[in-house]
Amino acid sequence: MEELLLVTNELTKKYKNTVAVDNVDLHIRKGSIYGLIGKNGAGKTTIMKMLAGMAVPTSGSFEYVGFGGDNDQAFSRIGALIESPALQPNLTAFDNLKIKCLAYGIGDAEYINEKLKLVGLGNVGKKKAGKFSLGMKQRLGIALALVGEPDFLLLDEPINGLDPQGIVEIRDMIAKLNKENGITILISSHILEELSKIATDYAIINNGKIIEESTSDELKMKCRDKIVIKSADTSVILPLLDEKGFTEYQVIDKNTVYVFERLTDVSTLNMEIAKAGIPVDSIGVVSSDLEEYFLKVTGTIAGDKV
Amino acid sequence: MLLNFLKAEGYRASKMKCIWILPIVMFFIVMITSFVLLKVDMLGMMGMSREDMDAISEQGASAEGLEDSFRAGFNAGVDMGSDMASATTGIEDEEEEEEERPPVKIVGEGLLYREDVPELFYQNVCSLSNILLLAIFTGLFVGDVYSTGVTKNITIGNRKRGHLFTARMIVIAAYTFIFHIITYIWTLINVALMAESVKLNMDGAFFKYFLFSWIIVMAFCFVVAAVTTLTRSKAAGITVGVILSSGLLTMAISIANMILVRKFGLDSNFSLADYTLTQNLAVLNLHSEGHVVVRALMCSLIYGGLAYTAGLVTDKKRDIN
Repeated sequence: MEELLLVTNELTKKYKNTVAVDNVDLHIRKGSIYGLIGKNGAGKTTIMKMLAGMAVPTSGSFEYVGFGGDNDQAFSRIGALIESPALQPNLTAFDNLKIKCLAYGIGDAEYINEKLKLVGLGNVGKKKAGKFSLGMKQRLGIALALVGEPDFLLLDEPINGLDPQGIVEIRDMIAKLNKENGITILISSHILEELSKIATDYAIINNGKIIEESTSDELKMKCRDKIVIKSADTSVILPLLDEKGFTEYQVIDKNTVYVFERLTDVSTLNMEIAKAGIPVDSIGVVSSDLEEYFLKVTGTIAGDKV
Repeated sequence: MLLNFLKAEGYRASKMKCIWILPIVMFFIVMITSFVLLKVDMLGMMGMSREDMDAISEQGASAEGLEDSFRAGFNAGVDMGSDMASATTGIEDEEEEEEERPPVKIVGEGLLYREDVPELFYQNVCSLSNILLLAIFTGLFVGDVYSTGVTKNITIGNRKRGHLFTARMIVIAAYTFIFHIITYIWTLINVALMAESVKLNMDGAFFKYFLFSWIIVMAFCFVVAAVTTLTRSKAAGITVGVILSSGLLTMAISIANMILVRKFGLDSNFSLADYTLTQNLAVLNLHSEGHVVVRALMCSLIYGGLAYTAGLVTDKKRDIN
């Protein structure tokens, strides 16, 4: 098993009578890009705040096992962009970065310019942060999160407000930071399709609870196109599938089998099952993307904002 | 860690426009105060000469002296009245009066025209205009933390957030000290421009006054900082600072004083206002008696200490939004 960076143990946060985060157990691997998926108010930001030391858990705990377990020490190795970027509107991008650099004991102007270039703000000059577009603010927020060369980056909706080109640039940057610098990243996003392009692990959260924690491969398997066979007793179907040369299939439960190959042979397969005298409730090709899958597992009704 | 935070907070403060604007405003306030005290001839306006005043000063604040000064002023009023009457009764009387009374002029030698720089500095500090301006700085500086959420950028646990708060308070203390020096420099410039001569008189009494008055000002700013921290609102902090420094609470304090005296049978000389920072700053002077200084310092220590503790505990316990 790969080395873990962060483990949470029944992490809970309550605000008066509201349970924002309910007994959450996360397992974040070192070097992974961990996608946190959940609709508005699901508890994503609260989890991130607790992990960044900005909020104290009501109960439960978290441990940066990959950093030796001392959370106070670990905080110095974390960069975070949580909710909107915290910027001083009357200051330039350089000055905004300098405040954080000084707090981290970095006084090098060249370092600040490097960070600005990295996020594509190398040529903003003396323009005040208050006059930045939403995308520019978001980039500056990421630059701020990168100060101090963190080993773990918490990015809460980092591509919010970015134009398509900006989304691609930030996505590439995140992938680059992960691959080249070995930074572990915890990222949340509403744009699940974008998240699916970079995330290696996922947790789906709904009403403060983790519904599912899986790797990218596992999730892709669940989301990929497949023949879904529903029957009163699927055990009798499996020998037939073996006989007909199907190898990529998965028994989901007593009544459901997923077949992931030869999707165009669905009618032939239907006939073979019928010939064998096996009663079938339904058979057909089902395709779903991450978004559909998310809506399904969270039980979000159509029209709900994700 | 504290040193790094101190640098960051200091840099943040140095980038605030008000840090430069407030001293400029202070210059004009000092200039107006100095003009009134150095150049406006109050005695002349009251129909008195400096010799009359010196005579009163020699007699001290005795009943006799006060009576004489009252008479001098009263007679001047009577003279003015009779002056008007003489316009209808005869020209001879008028000529006689004109010879006896010096001409009335507004600009001339002010009350402190011959005083030293420390005396005028004291007048500028006790006018409370400096704490009014410093309340604005403190409210803006601390309030910015909550309006921009700048502390979100620094990932540290709540337990260690106290360092950041302490750094903020040190910056406030440093700025109040610099502002005190600036007030002195402005005073010096105005004395050089308007007084008879520049008498520095930087003796022990002056340095003690400078230090003690700064401690009171610092404690006052800590109170404003605590209010801003507790409410997370720069408007609330500034409003409280302005209300306290402008004496808008005088009436409330007087009523509270009356209730305390009547309900608890306190001495009729008891004054609740004596235990407020603003009153202490107004009362403290270059030659204050020991008990006045001790009371001022104790009040500063208690108010400043409580404000610092309240802000620190709140900042450490509260989640960052």
